[in-house]
Amino acid sequence: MERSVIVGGEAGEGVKEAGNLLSRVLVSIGYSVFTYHDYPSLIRGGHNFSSVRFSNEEVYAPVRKADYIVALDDRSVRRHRKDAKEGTVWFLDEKVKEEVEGTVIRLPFRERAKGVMRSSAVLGALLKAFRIPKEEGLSVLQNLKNFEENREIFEFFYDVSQEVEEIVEVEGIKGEYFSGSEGVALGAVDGGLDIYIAYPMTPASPVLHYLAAHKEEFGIKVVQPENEIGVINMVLGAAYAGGRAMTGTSGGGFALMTETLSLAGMSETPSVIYLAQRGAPSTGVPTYTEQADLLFSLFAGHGDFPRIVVAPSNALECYLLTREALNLAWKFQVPVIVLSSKNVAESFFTQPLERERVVEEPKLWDGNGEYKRYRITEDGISPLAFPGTKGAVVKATSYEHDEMGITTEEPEQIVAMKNKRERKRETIRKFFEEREDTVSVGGDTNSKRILLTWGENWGVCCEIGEELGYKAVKPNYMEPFPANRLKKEIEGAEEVIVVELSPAGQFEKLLNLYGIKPTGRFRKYDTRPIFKEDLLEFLSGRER
Amino acid sequence: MSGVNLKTYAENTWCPGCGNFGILRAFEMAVEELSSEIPIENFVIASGIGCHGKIVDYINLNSFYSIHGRALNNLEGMRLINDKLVCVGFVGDGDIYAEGISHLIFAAKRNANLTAIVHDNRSYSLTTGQFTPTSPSHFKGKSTPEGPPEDPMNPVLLMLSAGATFVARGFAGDIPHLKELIKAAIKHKGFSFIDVLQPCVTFYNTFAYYRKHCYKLEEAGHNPTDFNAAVERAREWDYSADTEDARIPIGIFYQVEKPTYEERV
Repeated sequence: MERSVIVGGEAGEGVKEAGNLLSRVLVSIGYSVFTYHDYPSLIRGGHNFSSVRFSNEEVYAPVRKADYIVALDDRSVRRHRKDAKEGTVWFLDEKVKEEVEGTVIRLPFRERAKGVMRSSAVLGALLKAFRIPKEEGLSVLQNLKNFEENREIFEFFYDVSQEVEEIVEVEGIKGEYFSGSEGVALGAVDGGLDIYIAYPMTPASPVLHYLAAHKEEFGIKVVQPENEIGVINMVLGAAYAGGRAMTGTSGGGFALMTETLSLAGMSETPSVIYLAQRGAPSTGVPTYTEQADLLFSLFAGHGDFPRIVVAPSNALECYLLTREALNLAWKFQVPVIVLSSKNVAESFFTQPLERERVVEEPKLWDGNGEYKRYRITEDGISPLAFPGTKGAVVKATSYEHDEMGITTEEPEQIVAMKNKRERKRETIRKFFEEREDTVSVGGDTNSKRILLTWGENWGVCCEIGEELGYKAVKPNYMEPFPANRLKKEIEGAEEVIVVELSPAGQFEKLLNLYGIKPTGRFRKYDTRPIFKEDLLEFLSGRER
Repeated sequence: MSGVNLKTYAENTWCPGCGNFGILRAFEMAVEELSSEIPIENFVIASGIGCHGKIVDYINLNSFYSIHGRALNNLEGMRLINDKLVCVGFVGDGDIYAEGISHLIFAAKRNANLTAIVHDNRSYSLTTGQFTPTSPSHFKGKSTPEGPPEDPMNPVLLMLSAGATFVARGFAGDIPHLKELIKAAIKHKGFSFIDVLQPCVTFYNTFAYYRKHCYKLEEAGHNPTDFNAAVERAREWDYSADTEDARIPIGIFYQVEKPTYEERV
């Protein structure tokens, strides 16, 4: 049993909130919900919509067509007429003039509820349609600040709306309903975060907002400096002083950070950058999605230095990989990039989230002898000490340096230090080499037909793979790139289709770099996520 | 003297007679005198890029040798993690008045509890002599053989309007005076700014001029708690005039106590 609901209206009238409220109720009665929020770069007016897809089986991807469409204005009707199926039930605001076919339920949403509180009106109407008991709605609403007002609106619409079908409570999927951004934030906290330092930029800002709202509960600091250059340099300063620091941004902000990314590499300062991709290049399409910063994240920064890039594809992976990112940064004293994109960052998933604090101790100075920040070691990792430590003088630097951290221009010392950093790169490579979790497989895992993808397309590739008989494969780490494991997973494949969101095919270029030659490609770059229908249509056209 | 060893083995590569030696000496003396009250391991110095930046290699203290214009942010980050650290940023005039100007203004605006010592030689010297934000319009540099087509900025006035709670100017040729300024700046709770007139003997040797025209605020009856008086004194010299009647005030222009960034975060 699967259904999908679209709620459409202007920015500022609770569209997103309505989607999330409905989703929370559905999750509480056992459904798996995937919710996609679509909004343009404006604050009032325009057209926002949220698409809530739910099922008693796991769902991880957006669909275009909806069984229920709530339209708060005429524009929403015009925009979503194409998304209706035969039999779609429409909930229209009383003032809507556009005509639609099929079942129509007209309600005074705009007259009876103001602004964000329209979300409670929509919830009331939908729960009644689904014959979900009122109490289920109230138990979700009671978490809202102005519960009483919302309750009144909710109950009014519940009472005046109509029943359509029964959505029964199901055993089945039990999980948390959370977004990729919340996953990143919680993962950071459980990875030992001390301070989050960020400048606002869509679609990374929800992490900043979430951590700022909960900083006391988490025991962390959250600050917003003057710009991304100031941000990343404060991150490095905090880490130098021994604090686990992290920032988040999108492409343009990351571009500003790249000079300091190189400083993190040279000074071997642990740092974590959450990079949430949006439609690019330049300002691009700020509130929509793309995967065209992949190569940038891998190669940004001048000079050779090791880095790690992790690529979560859903909320739970955001949690796990961000938590790991903090530990990796400190284990290897390198910059770690958590590479996400809007449809992971701002979509909501239903997944089991078992929080656990995992903070591994980094390699620390034992206090014996003279402290040398850049001591030459076999594995390329020098023991850490922090300022304030008696007997240690901790000298970090952007210049090429000797073991003490004093500037050098001597060829032998330069080579020794470059070799040390390259040995560290090798240490990192080996650390990942034997691990089985560097690559994920899904869909029809016995198939010889492969959908090779990464990041936010994972859910849609797995679902379509299962339906059409394709094996879905993705790397969870982009650097070091698990090429050998990928090759193993696609060995003997009849076809390998690369699925990505980049017109130039950045992921395919990366695969080529490691000698992986795909046989087909699906590239989407209208900055919208891949809806199930998109991939279905593309692959059906290819079916032999 | 407490006998702390502040020297490193790094070879000093400043030009003989460089104004930076005066700043290095004054700072070493200040640290020696303060070391009875501040544990030496709690000092952190940072620098940007330019001739001034080399200073961190020459001082045996915790240090973060940063990139051009960014050193103050590194120190702000440290202070947010460990407020016992006593942070001093050595920055250059090209470094912090050009590349890093936004960071300087915001460090002052926030009242981050750290000290910024600007080695203001009014020339990009490590890149062999181009004009900086405090070069006069008659500075004939390699990139502007006729002089820059713009007038210098007045960083003291800028810092007063940005909200710095300790604003001073020193002269690298007067080490005892500069040492006292540095000590006062380090002891000040909040953002301390010292613009140090630091002659570059190779590209812009202003030693003789500064010696002749500098006067001390504390000897002129200036009240450093009076903001308006501080502004007036700051406007007395505009970094452009090199005339015979110019008077260049050095010393503390302004000092006031306010909650620090670290306290408020």
